[in-house]
Amino acid sequence: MAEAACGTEELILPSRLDELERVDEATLRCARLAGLDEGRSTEVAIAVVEAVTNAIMHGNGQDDSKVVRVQFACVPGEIKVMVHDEGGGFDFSCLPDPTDPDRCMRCSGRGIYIMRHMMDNVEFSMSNGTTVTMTKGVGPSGSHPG
Amino acid sequence: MKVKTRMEGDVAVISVSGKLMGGPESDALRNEVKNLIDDGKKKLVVNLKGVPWINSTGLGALMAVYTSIQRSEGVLRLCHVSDRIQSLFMITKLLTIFDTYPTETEAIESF
Repeated sequence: MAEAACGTEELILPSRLDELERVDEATLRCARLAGLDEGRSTEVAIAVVEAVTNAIMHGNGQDDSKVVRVQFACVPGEIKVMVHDEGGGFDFSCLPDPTDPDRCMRCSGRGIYIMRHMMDNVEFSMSNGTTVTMTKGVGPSGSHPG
Repeated sequence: MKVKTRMEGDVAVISVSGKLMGGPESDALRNEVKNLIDDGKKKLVVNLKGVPWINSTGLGALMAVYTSIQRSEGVLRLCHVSDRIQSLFMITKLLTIFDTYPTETEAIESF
């Protein structure tokens, strides 16, 4: 069984949606280096793409002059990802369930729900902008994908 | 993102390739569907073979397409949905909304 690699990586992105592919690639790479299998790595990538989408669109209002910071940190047994935007924050304590029959036909409102479903833990904090911190464990085998 | 439409009998098949992430590319798909609806097309297949993944905003674009087709009393099928997109449909409970088929042929023949 391969040892999980540990380390950090940071992306500093302009607030443009065309940066998402780069975010996805970096997330998959870091998750695999941390020892997550393919399925778990994809789940992390899905969550991080959602977090960065929110940061770009809602946090920074797609303002090119504002940046989104994405920090990856692999610690033994898990990957931690922090996404920071320069926006004014929002009330994340009371978010409606997008799968509710009264809301499921809406075109928006699923991002945070997806993040919480894909990651083991999701937390929001506000200080000079909004930071979402997400973690996911490597799982029982911790094996490196073939 | 590229959007290409052809007719298979009375079924409009829209092949999408590239990114569906809520940017201007989403408008291309919505506009194409609007044009088809305005032309009286009632049976639409959206082939997502060229779309490896989407985000929730892209999901919203697909929802908007679905809603506009439904309002015109048309029917939408999706095909070649990647595993990653399928998992998004599953956790957001949109698998109960979208009719998905493994291949374009099966989607067309389902009408």
